[in-house]
Amino acid sequence: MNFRFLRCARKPEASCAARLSELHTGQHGRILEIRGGWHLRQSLNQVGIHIDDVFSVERGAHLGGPILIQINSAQIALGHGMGQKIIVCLDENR
Amino acid sequence: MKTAKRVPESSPHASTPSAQEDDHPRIILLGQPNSGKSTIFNQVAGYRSITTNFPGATVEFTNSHISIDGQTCDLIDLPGVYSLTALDNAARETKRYLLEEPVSLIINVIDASLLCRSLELTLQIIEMGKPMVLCLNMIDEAERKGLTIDEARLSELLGVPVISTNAALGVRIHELFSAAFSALRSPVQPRALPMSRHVEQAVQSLTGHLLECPAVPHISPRLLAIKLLEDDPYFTVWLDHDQNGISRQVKKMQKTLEEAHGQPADSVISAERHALSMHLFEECTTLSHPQDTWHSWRVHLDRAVLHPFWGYIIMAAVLFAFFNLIFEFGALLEQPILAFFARSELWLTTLLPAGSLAFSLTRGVLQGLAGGTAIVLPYLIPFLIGMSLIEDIGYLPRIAFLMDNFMHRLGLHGTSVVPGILGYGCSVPAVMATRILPSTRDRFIAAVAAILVPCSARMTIILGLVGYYLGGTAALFVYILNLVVITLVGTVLARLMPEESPGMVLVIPSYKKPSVKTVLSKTWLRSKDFVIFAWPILIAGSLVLSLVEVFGWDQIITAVLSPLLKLLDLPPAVGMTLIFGILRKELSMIMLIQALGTTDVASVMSSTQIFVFTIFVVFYFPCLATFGILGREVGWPKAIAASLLTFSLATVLGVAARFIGPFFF
Repeated sequence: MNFRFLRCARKPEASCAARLSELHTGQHGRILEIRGGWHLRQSLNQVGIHIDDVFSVERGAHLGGPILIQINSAQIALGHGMGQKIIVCLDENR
Repeated sequence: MKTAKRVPESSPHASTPSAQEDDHPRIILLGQPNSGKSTIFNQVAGYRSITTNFPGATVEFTNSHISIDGQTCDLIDLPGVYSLTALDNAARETKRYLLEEPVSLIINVIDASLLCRSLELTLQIIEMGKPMVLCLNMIDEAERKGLTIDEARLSELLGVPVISTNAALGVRIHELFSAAFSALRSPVQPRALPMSRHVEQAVQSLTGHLLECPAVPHISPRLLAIKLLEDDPYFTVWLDHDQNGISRQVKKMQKTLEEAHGQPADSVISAERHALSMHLFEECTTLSHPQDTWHSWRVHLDRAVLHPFWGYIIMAAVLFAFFNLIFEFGALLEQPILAFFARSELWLTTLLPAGSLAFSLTRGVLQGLAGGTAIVLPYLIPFLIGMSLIEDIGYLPRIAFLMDNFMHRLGLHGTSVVPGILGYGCSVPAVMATRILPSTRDRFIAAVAAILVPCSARMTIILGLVGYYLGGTAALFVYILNLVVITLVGTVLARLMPEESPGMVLVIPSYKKPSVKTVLSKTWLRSKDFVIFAWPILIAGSLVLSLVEVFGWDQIITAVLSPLLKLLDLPPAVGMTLIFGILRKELSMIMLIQALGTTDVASVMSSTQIFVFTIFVVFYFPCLATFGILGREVGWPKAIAASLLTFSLATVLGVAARFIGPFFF
């Protein structure tokens, strides 16, 4: 699990970058950036979503609905708007 | 860790007078939502705190005086918090309690299967510098996930006693409290773990400044320093009175951290805490493969339950079966109990002369009992059992997930569906549950929606009147109409109060096997209110109604209400029942029987009138208890506005039902 401590060398503009809300069921990735203010950052950090954490999508967003991810051993549901503010790096190899 | 003693009188963080500080130590159960605090509380205090498998279920404190092995203490179950930085009202209340009330010891309850995330709160509690015991609850769940935790190692790293428990089965609870009492006798200071060098320097430098400041709030300076760096509004309020240059120091340190890490200071500290938790996690756990059957079972179930198409079909089927079973079961019991009371009334006529005061009063008591027993209980008990099952299994947050998209159309998010669902039980806890929502506007809209949802008292009217006399389809129609009205009202309110909703962040808990004991205890706790408190009111109300009739006062009340009754085309006798319905909605139904003088409502009211009466009662003014709680939660002007809104809705819908009803019934 040590890889979680490694800083992601890739920038949000990198080719792997996508919005979390765009991901499909079964895809994996790493959190690159949280584009929001203090409240958004705190509400995500508190439930265990931090920059550089790896996650998998358990249910992708359908028709503007919420997204369900597995992160740090927990299942977290995020509203579509939230998902749009989280920039992730897709892991194509998994 | 030293704490400054001087507290400015104007400080919002001054300690409250310790009137409650008696001889008994005060032990606090503190942890993240859904970690099992209420379950532990109930294990030692008897079933007094409602437990559910939904994060944020506890929104108020429950306390009890407990005695274990001859040692006594006051045990307090606080609402769960993810962090000491509070983002909603329930968390704010917990934080206020922790920082402003005298606390002897904290039992930090954590869900062992989510050890890493839970330790982030533990690290913050340690920074408070209070004696604590760490409880690794749901240890069975952790083992199923393949997680083995070395208690001794964790205890050594944090400097606090660590006890693994399985609160649902009562495993090692006694040991947990023995450790707590032992820690009370010989308090051990928990060890605050240092952050990385750069961040630690900033924290220590600010702590140093705070220690020199004469007007520091009565809390640990290290915790205060960290929270000020994180820009936590609860603490930064104190900076408004700052005359010692602390604000300047805070800004300077924040800038240093931001420049060095390329992130806002709050993110830097959060990342540090996360890294420390990961470090602790790796130091004291070993991972193996999760138990396959459990893992695959959960995954498969969630795949179906949260499926974008099948998920909704399953939800509709579950809710349909739920309400249908309640109706079938309730109707099965209602008939024989009503027949028993009808026979008793006949028997009464042979004992006392009809029309005498004694006869009227005895009949009043009998009809009050008939209403409480035959009409309400047969529907209320199965409803509460079913509701407890849905909650304890963990289906409620999954409904919130499925409903998020729909709730967005109302300008709310998925979590707002929870007060609505709880509203089917009782509007009072439903309105209180709006505390889990972060914005005032969301809380108001969700509270209005929650009071419009037919509570179990109104459910008995829908099922007992419309269901019983007009059929199940008509009862289902009332529910559907109610949902449509709630949607429209929600949409209109959201348009009138445009504000961006913060969006849903919801932790979906693991499925849990419901325990028969918990389900029954919870049903008892919730129905106790009805049996103990409502029955006397029902009987007293029924008696008052008899007296009103005997002395002819009903004419005055009926005259006052006659314009409304004429508008709705309801019999004049019904007027009184609407007044009593304001006390408790069940009373409308019972008073109706009393006012009409028969348990066979259909013999004196037409089908349309039954329908109009039900529609009006379902939507009009929430009961007094709900009104009180609404005023407390959203403020009196909004509570009055909400009540006027519901009354207007009830009148408009009642009149519409009066004209449309004859086409169907």
